[in-house]
Amino acid sequence: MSAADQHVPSKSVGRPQHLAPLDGIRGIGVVYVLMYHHGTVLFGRRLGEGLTVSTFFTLSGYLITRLLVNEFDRTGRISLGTFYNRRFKRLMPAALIALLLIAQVWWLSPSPKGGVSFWSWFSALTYWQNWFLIFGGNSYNDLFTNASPLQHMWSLSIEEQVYIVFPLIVFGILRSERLRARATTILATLTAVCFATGWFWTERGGASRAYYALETRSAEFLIGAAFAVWWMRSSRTPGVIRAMRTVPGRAIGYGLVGFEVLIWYCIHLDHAVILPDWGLFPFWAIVNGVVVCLLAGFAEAKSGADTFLSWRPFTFIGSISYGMYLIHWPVFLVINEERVGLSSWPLFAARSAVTVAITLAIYYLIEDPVRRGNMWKGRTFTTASVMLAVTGLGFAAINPGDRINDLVDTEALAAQERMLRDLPQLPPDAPTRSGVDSALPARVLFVGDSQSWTVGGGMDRFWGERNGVDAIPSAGVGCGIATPTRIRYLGEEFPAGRSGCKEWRDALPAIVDKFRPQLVVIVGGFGDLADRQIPGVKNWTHIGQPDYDTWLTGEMDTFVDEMTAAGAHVLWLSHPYNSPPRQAGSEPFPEEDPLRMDLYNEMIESLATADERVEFGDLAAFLRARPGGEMDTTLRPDGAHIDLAVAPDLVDWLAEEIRRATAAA
Amino acid sequence: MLRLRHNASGLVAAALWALTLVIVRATGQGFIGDYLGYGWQLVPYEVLRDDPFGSVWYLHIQPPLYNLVVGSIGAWSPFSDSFSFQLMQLVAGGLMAYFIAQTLVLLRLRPTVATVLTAVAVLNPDVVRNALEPTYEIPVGALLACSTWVIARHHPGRAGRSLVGLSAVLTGIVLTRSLYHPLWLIVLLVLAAWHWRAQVTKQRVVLAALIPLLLIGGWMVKNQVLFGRATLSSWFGMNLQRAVIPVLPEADRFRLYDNGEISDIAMIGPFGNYDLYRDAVPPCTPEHSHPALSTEVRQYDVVVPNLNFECFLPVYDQAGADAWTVIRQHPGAWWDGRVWSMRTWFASNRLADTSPSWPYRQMGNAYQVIRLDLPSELSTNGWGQPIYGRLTVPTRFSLTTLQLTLIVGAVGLSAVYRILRRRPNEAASGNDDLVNAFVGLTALFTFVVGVIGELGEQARFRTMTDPLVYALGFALVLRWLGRRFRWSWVETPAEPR
Repeated sequence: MSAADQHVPSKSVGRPQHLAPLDGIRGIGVVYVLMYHHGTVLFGRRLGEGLTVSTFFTLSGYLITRLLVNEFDRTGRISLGTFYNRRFKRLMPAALIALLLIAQVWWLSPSPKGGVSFWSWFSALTYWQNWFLIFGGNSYNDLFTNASPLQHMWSLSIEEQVYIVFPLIVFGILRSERLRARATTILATLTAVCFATGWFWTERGGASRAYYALETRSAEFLIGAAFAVWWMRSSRTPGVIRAMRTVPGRAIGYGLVGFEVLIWYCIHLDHAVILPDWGLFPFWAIVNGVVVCLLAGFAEAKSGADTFLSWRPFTFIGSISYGMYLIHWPVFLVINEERVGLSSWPLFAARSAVTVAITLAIYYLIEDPVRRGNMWKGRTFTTASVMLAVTGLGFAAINPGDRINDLVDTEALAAQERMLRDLPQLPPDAPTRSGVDSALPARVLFVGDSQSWTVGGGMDRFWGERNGVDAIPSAGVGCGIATPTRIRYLGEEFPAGRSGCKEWRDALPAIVDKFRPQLVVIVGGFGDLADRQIPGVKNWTHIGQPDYDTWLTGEMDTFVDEMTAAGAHVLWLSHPYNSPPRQAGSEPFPEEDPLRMDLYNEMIESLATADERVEFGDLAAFLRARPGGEMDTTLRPDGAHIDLAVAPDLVDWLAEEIRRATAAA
Repeated sequence: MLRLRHNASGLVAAALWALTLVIVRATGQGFIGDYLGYGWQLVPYEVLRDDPFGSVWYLHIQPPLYNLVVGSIGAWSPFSDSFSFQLMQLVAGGLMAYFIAQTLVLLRLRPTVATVLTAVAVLNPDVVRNALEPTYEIPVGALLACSTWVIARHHPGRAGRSLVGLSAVLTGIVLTRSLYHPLWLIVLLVLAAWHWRAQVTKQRVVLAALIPLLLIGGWMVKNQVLFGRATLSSWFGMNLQRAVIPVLPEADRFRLYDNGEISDIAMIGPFGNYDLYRDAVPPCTPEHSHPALSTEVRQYDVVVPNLNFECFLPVYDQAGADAWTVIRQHPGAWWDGRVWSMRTWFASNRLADTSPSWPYRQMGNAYQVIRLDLPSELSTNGWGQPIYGRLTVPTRFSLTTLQLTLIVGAVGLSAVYRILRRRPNEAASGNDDLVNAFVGLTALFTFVVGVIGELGEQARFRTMTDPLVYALGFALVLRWLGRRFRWSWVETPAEPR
């Protein structure tokens, strides 16, 4: 594209100098991003997440515009082909390798917290991850909960989208003499419009919508671009440079670096600390943009914190900041506390070391040689890129991550949804007592694990109908009543708790609310006897250990609160000894330990003594006293579940317990 | 730095293998001889030992060589079975290490580098584990390494001898392991003949073609005459059923069964005792009286079928028909199984974790780093008829194995492309391309066939090619790095010959 007819190139204009301080800012920025993504707490507060990437955007806008304007000034044209080719060779090799590795690692070792779906991977490859996140309803706050290893690609996606459009805008402005004279004004106006959309989306669509949107984040590029044009074209620039080089100017330069880090720290996506909470968009984003522009000015003027920011370690990290950003997030997800047994700063050191090692390998082996034209020359570059992309697509297509999670969750959710749907809508004046026997409640909800299913279902079948009691079970199969955590259950380890338990627990309040039971009977809880990793405790722990007992007591209280939310009373049955099926000759599961059962039953009894909403029913003692005892194989053919069909005496006992609990309510 | 002579590299690598195996055994890791009692691929061991040749003559489930070797050792070894088979694995592994190291030297890696890379490749606990059982993975690995060596040592003066040698070794592999289909042999032989076409006489080509034709063809003719099936192995159908039906959702399986589209055999499950299938096939009495065919159940401490029992033949046929029906009607279920198998391919063996041998445990720890093992799990959740029970077992998956497989595969395919495009007068220059093509194609073929026709034992299959994939893969990476950073210690400046 040429505008030579409108513009006389100036041969006196040289190529723009490399600005080492800006590398330094990038270096500090990327280390800050690593610290934030590690979850670092400094001075008692979590780091702010709002503005670091914003700094990168503004720097990119500034530097890219500087290059384009310089090229136009030197040659009278802007070669879009060269521009895109250079960007492609700069960004794609490292991105392709990082994406391929992510697809492979998440295929081999899918994370229960978040996976790699084909479309998520494809959107990262083709740089529209930000739109994928927006339309997928992903919140930026999911970063630490349901994190995808590709989530950080949103910012690179925005950057690429800008790179596609932005040179065209700059060329359009520069080629017209009339527009060229107003370039700063035009870019500043566009900046203002984009900042306004940030405010608009924050108000209407939520902070995450604003955070991921191209039209919002373009503002941060454009402010850098507007400043670059102003700096290169304005007659006042020499005066500004002189001012920057004065002692007060230098002091301001240092102060700006400090202020920049301060606003990174203070400004969060949806709130601010220390500094006034005037919103990320547009206020603090504008402030940050202005600060970055001034820092760029100081770098040009070789003043301010120039020497500090040009310190070799900062600039070196800055020069590999792109690769570090690409690599760090999946590395942080893979190297976690559970896997390596480290926490806090040692964990951060391990994560950072691996990030730097992989980044350097990619940088020296691929990224740098390709950029310098020493590798993948000519058609080889295209061939290599296509091969890497196709291989990555293959791995993304067979990646089970999301699919496996979806399947499991969908089954559990579907079961709960069916249950909720099938429950009749009760009129406000629905009876609270059985129409046959007023000593009995109208509705009894059996909750717990699979035992509650067999017992609850059995009670309804053998007793409920003729006594006018509607008894329904809501079972979380293999779940305890406590919040799902990492658990070793029946010889298997479940990193995020057993499948479906979370869904069961989440659905229970809605079931209670709709069914409005007068009595909730809790049966089971075998999962609470298993070894677990509970919040705040690094090692595996179990009932009988102080931390666990404290945690479980709290969980039991919470569970009772949820069950009684609609006014129900609770009958909590003790847990008989269990001997679930296992391979012949293998050791009993830890959760079978009678000692654990006894402790659990004591906790239930203590809770019932302390909480008037709860009655204790000693099912274990009743079974022990029966002929055949607690482990009667006729009653419990698999060593665990109770078949009420063969135990009318147990049906009667349970009926009496229900009567007693109802009377106590 | 220790410097080795060219021809010492293989010997040192073999010695390292032998030493490691002896240390692992001496420090408490047992040799698992039970395989002789239950090994599905074997005729009942007592029958095989009593009459090796007769048993192999009546063998239909497998190609003949491995049963012949096991039977011969059992019959004529002066030592105990346990010692004899340990010695067999020690020798086979030593040969494998020797051939790999010498191949790397022939590819112009410095002897010390070649030895180290070979040691890294063969001392992988995944590979060593196979030497702790009398299975055929190590011998097949040795034959594959031997093929590579035959290719690498070729020079124009050897004219067609390399081609004939290669043909003989490949034929040996096909007659040992049914996974290596004659098609694989044909492709590789044709590629080698094409590559060496300027140097090979017609007589040598004919001779190279005759070896597999007579030996493999002869075995198939024998099977046609005795059993009415011109195959190398009769149980492919059952294996295919095992690869397909377990993943099929239960409701779909019952629907197919109720519609009469699949038989009782699909409802029973694969490779059970014949008693389970008896009512599902027409009444059968073995036509041959040799115990290799007429023994229904082998003598072992649990009931294990003799899968070579003649009456299994119609069961295998029906199982194959059922499997094809399922594949045609539920390609999605079939594909889910294949994805599961692909992932299982890269699972690392965990025997070393719990080994009583301290050195073996330490090797396990060290290789977790070398293999870049990622912790995860293998689960049969969601399967309609899980053959391994409903389980989720913690497993590790090797990122290194995945990368090296991709590298060796990609380099191999590009080498094939170059070989096919090369003009006859250029073909004489070096054997790197043919070695790369051989290892790449073999790794990919083993992967593809192992994934298509199997569900669950992929990691074991992989260990046959692991030594070559690791050695050549690391060699390719190291050579690339050496050239890029001008490391003179990686390659010899001139041809070692």
